[in-house]
Amino acid sequence: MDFLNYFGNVFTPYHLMLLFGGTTAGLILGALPGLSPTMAVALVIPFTFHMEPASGLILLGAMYTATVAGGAISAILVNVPGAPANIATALDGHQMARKGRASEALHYCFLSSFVGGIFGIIILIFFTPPLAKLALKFGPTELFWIAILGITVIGTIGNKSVIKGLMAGLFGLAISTIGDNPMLGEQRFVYSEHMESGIHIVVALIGLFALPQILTLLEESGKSKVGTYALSETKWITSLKYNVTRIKALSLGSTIGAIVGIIPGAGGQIAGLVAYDQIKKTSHSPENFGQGEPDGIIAAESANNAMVGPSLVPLLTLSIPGSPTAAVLLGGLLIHGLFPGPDLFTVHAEVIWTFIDSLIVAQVFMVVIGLFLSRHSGWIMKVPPHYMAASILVLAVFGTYSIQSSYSDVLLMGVLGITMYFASKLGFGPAPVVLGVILGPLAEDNFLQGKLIGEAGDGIFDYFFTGTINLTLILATLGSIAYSVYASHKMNKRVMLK
Amino acid sequence: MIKSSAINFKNSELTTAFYSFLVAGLFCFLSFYDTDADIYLFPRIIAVTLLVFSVILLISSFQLSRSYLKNSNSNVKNGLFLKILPGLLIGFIYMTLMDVVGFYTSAFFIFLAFLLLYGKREMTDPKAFIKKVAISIGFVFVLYLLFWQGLHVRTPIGLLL
Repeated sequence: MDFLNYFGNVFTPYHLMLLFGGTTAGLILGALPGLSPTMAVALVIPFTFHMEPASGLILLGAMYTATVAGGAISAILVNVPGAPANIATALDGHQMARKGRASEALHYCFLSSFVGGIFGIIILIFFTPPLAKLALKFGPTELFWIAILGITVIGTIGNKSVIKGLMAGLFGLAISTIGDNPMLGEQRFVYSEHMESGIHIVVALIGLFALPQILTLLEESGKSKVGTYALSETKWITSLKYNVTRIKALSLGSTIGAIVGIIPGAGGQIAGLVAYDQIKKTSHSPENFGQGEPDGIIAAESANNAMVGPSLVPLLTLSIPGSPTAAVLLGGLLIHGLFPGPDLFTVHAEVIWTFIDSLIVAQVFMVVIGLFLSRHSGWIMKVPPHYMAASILVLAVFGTYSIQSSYSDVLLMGVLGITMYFASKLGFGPAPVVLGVILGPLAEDNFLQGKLIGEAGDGIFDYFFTGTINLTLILATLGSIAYSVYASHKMNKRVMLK
Repeated sequence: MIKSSAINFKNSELTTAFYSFLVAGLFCFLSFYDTDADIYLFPRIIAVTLLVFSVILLISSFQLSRSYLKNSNSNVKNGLFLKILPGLLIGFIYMTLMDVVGFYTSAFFIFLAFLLLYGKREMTDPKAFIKKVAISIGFVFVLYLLFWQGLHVRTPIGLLL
């Protein structure tokens, strides 16, 4: 029961303040239509750079939890999901708002998010340590294939084009090779003094996620705003009484969310939609769905928050993120010198268990602040896009500069961001690029080490392509590509038939 | 008959594939030309894989079926660049100014410039202008408290702050 030993660390005034600030900011940022949770977490990473590792992770964890739940506010009030994870919530949530039941819908959303979130963290607590022990068996080739699997999974699952997703991951790997060669120390692709020390993970995170978001917000500025619906005076205790009777929706949503979360790369969007689909299929009155059925919100929201904890299981054990936001969190771990694997639960046990325990407290903060915001969230919808763009730009520049007090980092962040904006217009997503940048050094280090060991033994091919774990990882990599090609082909066929 | 949006989509897919091929080709050239094989081994593997994928993308974009094209829309819209151009210019000026006049002063001007250039045009309304100036000052002040006082990040002071 390691997680109980460090529970007290969460209850220091400083950590509680971080949890309060992170949850409030996360809920508001998540609710702002157009701002993704991934970008919000990426923007906060530089602030954590100056904190103790446990404190930094507490802030990031609170933001991650709250942004996913906060996205439901805009989904319900203006029918624009704050994040992809809240697409399913909008289906019935907005219909309820149109019928004058907006507050009630928001209550269901936060209460079921809390139930799902707690369930997800329990999965995280019990599944992570045994899986981390498995990582002890990993040598250089296994770690190389793990990095390739991580990039492949994020690149293929959830991307419209499999090939573009894979290419985006490769672009990320290419960016990670700028700077010193890890074995020989010689510089590569350094064409300017600004590139001498390579590209810092946080510079890439902010550039690739925040700057394209700014330009997208500027595109949207001046467009007519969608009207929001009035918030009624429904008491949250009434909603709570109803919510606890919806055991089927809560348990189905939480279970599906946890399963989807643990699958690398799947993310909250899939969790919410699958849970919504299943509750609708198993309902006695499926015709009510899409018309303002509370079970639709309860299943979707419990699922997308139940995904948060399990999405950290493959991340903390094998460095494979369960969602794009978890990929950003990996960057947060690495800048504090915490590398996923068994060491995390032995050498850094205090830091990591404090972080995991803080996620439970973050759920409590999320439901309390969320229920409060349910009555006052109308103003969030009125923030104009250019105000958000200006704030993100200034924060992105300050955050980037603060990492190494380097003007070069700011310039590199600008170049990466503008390039990513145009690349995203051509169908390349930022998540695989970021993961390529983060996992690139892991892949290259272990590839070169494996090459040396292979040359000294039975040969490189034998060393990389034999062994149960190697073959399992290679098959998983090929399987994820094959599945994504199949899914994409099926979707194209459906579009053509329509 | 194929709709114009479908033609745009095919063009944009071809353009994407073409640019990807160019980038992959450039990366291949930089990895192989006049470089040490040991130092550049990993980038070379990435470059070749990237080139292979870009060729597949190029071929597949030529083969997009008509019925698929009919149901697809291009993501690249006309006039897009004109809308983001002022923002890009402000960003460029920001990065140039921050070292000279100081991070906080430049942040104030850049924030205000965004508020004035985008959204509703209320240049002649003194009340609206004062409101925007006040919001910009408030934002930069919070930033100052957070970074300078809270996190002790020493940004370049420049001529002002």
